[in-house]
Amino acid sequence: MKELTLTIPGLFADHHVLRIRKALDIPGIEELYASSAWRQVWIRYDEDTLSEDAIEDMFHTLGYELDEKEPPLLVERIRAGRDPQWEKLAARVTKTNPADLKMSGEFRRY
Amino acid sequence: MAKKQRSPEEASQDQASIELLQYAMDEGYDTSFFRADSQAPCPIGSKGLCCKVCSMGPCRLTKEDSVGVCGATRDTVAARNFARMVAAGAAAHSDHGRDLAHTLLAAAQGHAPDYTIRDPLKLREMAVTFGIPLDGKSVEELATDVAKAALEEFGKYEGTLTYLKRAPERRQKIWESVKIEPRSIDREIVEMMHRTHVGNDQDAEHILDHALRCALGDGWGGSMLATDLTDVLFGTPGPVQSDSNLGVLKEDEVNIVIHGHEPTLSEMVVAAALDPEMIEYARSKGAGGINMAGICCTANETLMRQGVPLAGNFLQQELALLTGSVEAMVVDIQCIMQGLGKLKEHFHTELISTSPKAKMKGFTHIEFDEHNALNIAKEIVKKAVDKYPERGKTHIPESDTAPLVPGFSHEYIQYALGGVHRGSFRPLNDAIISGRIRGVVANIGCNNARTCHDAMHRKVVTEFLKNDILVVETGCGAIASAKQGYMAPEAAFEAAGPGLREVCEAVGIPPVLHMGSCVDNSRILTVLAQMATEGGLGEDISDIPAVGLAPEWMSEKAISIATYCVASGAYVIMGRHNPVSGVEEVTKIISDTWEEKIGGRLEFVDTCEEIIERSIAHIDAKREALGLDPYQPDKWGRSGDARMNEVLEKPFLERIEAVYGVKA
Repeated sequence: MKELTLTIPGLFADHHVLRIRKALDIPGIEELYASSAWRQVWIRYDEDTLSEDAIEDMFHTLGYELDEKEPPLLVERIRAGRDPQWEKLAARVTKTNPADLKMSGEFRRY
Repeated sequence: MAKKQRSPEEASQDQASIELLQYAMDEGYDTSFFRADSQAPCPIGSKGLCCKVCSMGPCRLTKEDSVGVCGATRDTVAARNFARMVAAGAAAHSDHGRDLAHTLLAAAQGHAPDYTIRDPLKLREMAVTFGIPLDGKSVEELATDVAKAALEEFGKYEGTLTYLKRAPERRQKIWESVKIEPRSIDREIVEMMHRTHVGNDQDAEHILDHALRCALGDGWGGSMLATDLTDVLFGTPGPVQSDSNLGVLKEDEVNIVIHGHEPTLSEMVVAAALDPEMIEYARSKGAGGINMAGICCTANETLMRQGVPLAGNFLQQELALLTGSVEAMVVDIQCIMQGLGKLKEHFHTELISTSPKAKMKGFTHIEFDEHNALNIAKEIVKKAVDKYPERGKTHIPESDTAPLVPGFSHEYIQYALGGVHRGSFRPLNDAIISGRIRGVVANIGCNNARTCHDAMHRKVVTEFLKNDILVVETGCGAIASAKQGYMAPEAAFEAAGPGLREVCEAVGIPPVLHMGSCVDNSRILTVLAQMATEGGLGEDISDIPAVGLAPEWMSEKAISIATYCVASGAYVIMGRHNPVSGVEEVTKIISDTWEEKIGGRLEFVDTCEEIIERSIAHIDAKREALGLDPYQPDKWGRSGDARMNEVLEKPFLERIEAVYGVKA
């Protein structure tokens, strides 16, 4: 048995996971874990039945590019110098409104 | 007696400053550092024992039982001296606020065409505070009403200051019961000067009660108005990227340094420097462009809103000239060293004074007038560009600049903590209650040539961060932390304790928040008021586990700030020099008596170690009084991006298990 971890930038949603699980439910694949959070797939396979190249080809056939790089960061740095929302806010609050505290009920009560 | 001259490393802990101090020593240039070494402070005046309020003196009350010619005792004299410092500081901040109200009025009435109302939302907030109806009014009409209401606060003849109602109710009741609610801003300053005239108020505690009232007129009056009006005219700050220290000066561009305090002129100079016509003019003189940088609180004002880089703090103003790369230093008011005029003789720099309130020897005076602002600003920029061909050898420090993210207005902090619809200070209170944040320190104030430049700011802030204490800053203290690298969000990974790091990561903020210039200490009051109102941390500012510090203070404004913070319920520690140290009774009034009376106390402490120890002890005592769990340094720190970096390095299956807690 051999293990293989592949990084797939296009694997970003649950339907990709389902699709990969279904497509790779074939003889030779002993175990598979596809993660849309990490955009990676881990596979344990029988090297007598399947080769690494063959598995990679299957992903290409499914339309997924493979990436040699490390798993992507979960949050990418925003390049904008300023928070774009700040200018669009509807209010500038300088005093806590007691009515807000009251209306929020138990949620805001200590 | 002249003291030994300090080495550059003894005079400053800022690497860029050390480089330039060495250069100044080698070349024999005079700076405030060397002047401080060559003259000891007056031993009588520094203890508050010199009375010079009439021509029968000055009287030197050097012995325990000394009295002045009029019979004034040492406690009266020391209290009067302290109170007059408060009045001068309050006057400086408040007059700054008044000028901004006049600018807003002129802009609203169409007399200052280069100014617009950049933040109508903040204008509405001010109008609501003043009780001005909003219905159907144009922005200009509303701005006219708000500017007039603001101007009335300076001299109204009945009632008390409108902004006092921003304080927690409990605090307002304390002010009412002690009878220190300021009636109008100017009145309390005038009365302070009156009371301290010869043969007037002679009871030290009574004099100092009025110092509290006068200072409140600054904090919840002049300064708070200055902050709000500046936000209305130039925008309420939000985070912006910038850079700090003298290395921001550029070898191949026209460098214009703006220095002083008011943003009315500097905002226009920044606008003029961006004018394509001006940039083209600079190119025609062989420069690559025009580079703006700031010193002192003008720097903080333009940094917070426009991201103009910081050249340095108060003690670096002369050092900026020593770089030989500054074409013009444009100043307005406050904290501008007279030594600049003499030092300038060795350099090509054009020093330009602009305020009708401040003329200076060695400066070219181009009087600023808000009615013709941009044209005057362009004239100033042009004068700077004309100096570029005269530039000789430069000495811009080679040490690295430090990137920073400033711009934390209280409004932005509230928004950052809860977003558009749920903005509140609850997450901050929660973090303190849970112990992720042990408490809050406001580290503010000046530099002082008699202490090692930036050393105390650097040391105390470093220790507070390690102890999971969130630090908020303004003024020259803020610039010290910016240069230290603590105002970049990444600093949380290196410098903050585990709990504070988690909060900084979750919100995306640096562990030290830059809240603005010295008038913007009013923002800190607003944050404290909102934290108290939000609940969970008591009902008053004095209940919150927080401390105010000014370890390298030097100006009368710092004394006024300290006094209004104490009057608002805060524990305040000033570094090094107690200006009333000669009279134990007065030192006791501003600490013990004030604490009994209004819940805040003022202390003067010599060493960083003592400042840190007392601050942390106070924070822990307040936590205990609130019934919060004692702070545990290892309780938190198992979440966040820093942990995620460790997880990312694991092989896939181990990573899955680490994140989800179950095997893949």
